[in-house]
Amino acid sequence: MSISKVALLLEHKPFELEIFKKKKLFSEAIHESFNHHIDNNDLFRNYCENKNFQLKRAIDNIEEYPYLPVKIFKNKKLISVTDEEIKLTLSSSATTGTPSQVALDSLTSKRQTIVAANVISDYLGRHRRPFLILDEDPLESKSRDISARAAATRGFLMLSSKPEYFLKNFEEQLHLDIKKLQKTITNYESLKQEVCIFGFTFVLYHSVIKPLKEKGIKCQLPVNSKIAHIGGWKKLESEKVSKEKFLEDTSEVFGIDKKNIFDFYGFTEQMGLLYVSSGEMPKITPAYSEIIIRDFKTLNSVKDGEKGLIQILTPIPNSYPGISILTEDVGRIVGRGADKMGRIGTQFEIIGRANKAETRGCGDIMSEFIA
Amino acid sequence: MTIYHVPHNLKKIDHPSWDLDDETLIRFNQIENYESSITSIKDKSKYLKDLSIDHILEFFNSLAIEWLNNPESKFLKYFSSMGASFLINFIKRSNLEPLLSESLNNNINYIDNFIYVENLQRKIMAHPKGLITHWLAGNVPVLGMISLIQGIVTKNTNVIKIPREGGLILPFMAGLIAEHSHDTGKCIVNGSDIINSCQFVYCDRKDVVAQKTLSINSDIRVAWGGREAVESVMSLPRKYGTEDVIFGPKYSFAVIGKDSFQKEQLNEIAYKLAIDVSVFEQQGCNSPHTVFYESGGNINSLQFSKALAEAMEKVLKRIPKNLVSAEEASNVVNIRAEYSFTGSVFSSKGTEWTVIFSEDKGFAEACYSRTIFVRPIKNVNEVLECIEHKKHQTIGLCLNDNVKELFAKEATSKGIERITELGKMSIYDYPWDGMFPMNRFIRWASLNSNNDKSTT
Repeated sequence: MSISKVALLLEHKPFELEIFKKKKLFSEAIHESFNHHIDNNDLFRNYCENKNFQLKRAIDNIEEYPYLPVKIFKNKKLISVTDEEIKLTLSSSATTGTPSQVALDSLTSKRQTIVAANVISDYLGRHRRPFLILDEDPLESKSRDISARAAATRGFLMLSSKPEYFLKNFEEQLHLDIKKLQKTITNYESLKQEVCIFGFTFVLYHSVIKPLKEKGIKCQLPVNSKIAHIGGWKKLESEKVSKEKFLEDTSEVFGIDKKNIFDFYGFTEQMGLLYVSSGEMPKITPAYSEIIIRDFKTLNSVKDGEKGLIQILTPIPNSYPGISILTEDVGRIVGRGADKMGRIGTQFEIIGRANKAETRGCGDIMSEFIA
Repeated sequence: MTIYHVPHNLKKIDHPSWDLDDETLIRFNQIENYESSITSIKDKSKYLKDLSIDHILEFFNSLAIEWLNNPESKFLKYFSSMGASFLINFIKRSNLEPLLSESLNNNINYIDNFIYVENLQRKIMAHPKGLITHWLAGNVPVLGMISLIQGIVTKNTNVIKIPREGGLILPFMAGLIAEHSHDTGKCIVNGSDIINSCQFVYCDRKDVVAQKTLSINSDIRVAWGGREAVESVMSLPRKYGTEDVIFGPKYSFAVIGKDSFQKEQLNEIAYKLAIDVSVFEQQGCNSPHTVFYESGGNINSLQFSKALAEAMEKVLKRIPKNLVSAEEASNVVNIRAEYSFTGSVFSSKGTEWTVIFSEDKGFAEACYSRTIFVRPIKNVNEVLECIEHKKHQTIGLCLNDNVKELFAKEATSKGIERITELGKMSIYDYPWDGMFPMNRFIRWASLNSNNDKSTT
């Protein structure tokens, strides 16, 4: 049996494939993936037919592939494998209404783990180090949203030698244990042990950076330490905290270079794929996915630099057809090829979300909760 | 409390967007003493009160002609896709005078002088109620202007609280009115003097003190917008005797009876409905979102849907699409995808228009952006069961004459306020939302004297 095109793609590191080589490998993999879902998912096949899409021998331009809007996973059970093959159902962390649900088979789970590990370790390094998690301990928490945050955190803990939590929940408000944090950091500093601080963007700023800055407290992290945060910017932006201010304040409080502050972006419907910005640099697509920006009016792809709705294609999902998704995020492509750090891919920025689109992401959920 | 004075002498070149952003706002003056600013515009309203209604109507009629015929007209240049022709038709004397007349006991001169009424055996006169504050919504700016013009022709002083979205449209339009003047042969009517009786203001919706200040100084509170917005205005304190005129959220739809048109009229009927769907991008409370199509006739509902789709494309050329926001695009893509699994979706390649046919029952949730749902029904009377008072406004009706009036009687008794032919749903006409708005903007006074029969 020949190795699948998707598996071939996954053999590569995330940011090393030259553009033309990625184009060939990715085209073959996404074609194979569309073939699989059209053959094994009646609803998806009908959907493609309704869009007048027929899988020809080769699709020259990936823009020709139809896309599913991300919201469809709230309303439709779209499965491309047998019920027996489903091992787990993932739910998105929607604050209101119905959450998205995607069914995972072991192949999809395995692929997700590979791509997530490849991307995370490319930015944070492969070695384990202490993780200082600026959130409450899920084992001690009674918060209603902790399970979603804990699930999102878990993916990062593969790089952790020792997870420690520093926030406590009193009367539905998260409070930082400043003394514990200072003592822990001082201890690692004396051991010259680098650490990774991990948190949800809004929680990290609202419950940690802002109060520490207001009190004039600085916690110098050991050399080579990193800060990773996830969860989105919507709430912070509504409070007029720009990305620049976030980076400035975080860098100042923890005495860390901005390039060692990493913002991770991803969504449940394509779990495992993460898009990271290091400091002020844009996010970049790994070998395993490609981005298209679509015009609000024509839905055609726009020129690089112009804004539109973000569509992401990936051959990773096997058990559900989340292989071409139009998100509700607005973004623009800012470059192609190698970035300043030598990572090769399509560089893009997220500008915002369709105005009234549902608040998503664990950090945004938390922002609703503690604001 | 911060109330900003928004000037009407804006230049479009200064404002690439019509939205009121923070950057623009800080350039406007804050009103330090609202009460004295009101006193000032009330003083300036004397000019309007002294004009005869005949001259006011002539002024607006000449303005309509100017806007329509002047190829250099900024009005058409900027607002052709925002209902410019709709507003031009509204301010024509041939339209405005009958509306005013209906509100003034069939004689517009009551707003100028006492006139003897035989049945009452006394003279009566209509006076403006005083100060109207219009809380406007951003969805259809031209309706805000219609609100203001009705305030002007009834000689009231007007304060217009603009929204953030599209907030600069009305002050700019008012600026164009101010540039116009008209020689009636007896006097010159200056638009600038008329507009001086109006004040455009902005305050944050969360600024309760500012909102209360606007409210407490009003003799009439006019509120346009969504339920939350109008309820928020209604909850503000008001002085004794202040009247409320509410134009809240409403849903409109179309009903087509079986064999209510000939086969060869299919394209014409579809085109008329497409016009109703396309005007104002369905943001108006009079815009249809669902069309109920009675089955069993010569043309089935799926055939009608296809004809409607073709008509939507034709109308797109006549009424070009405005810019589409990310949210609108997202909503359209979502609804198309949802119905791709269960119904038939006909659409433009982009997000311009969408016709969705499905066997679902009842009203479809409004998606806006020229998205119309075609739903077959066995009998038009099924629709009557779905109508809710205060929720549904206009029906675009295509029904055989022998059953039309009975259906209309039932529908209006259940709460429908307007029934029009297809193609005429978007026209602002009287009564509106169940009332004659200008009638609400005036108060009646009587004079009983010895020489009553001599009219002044």
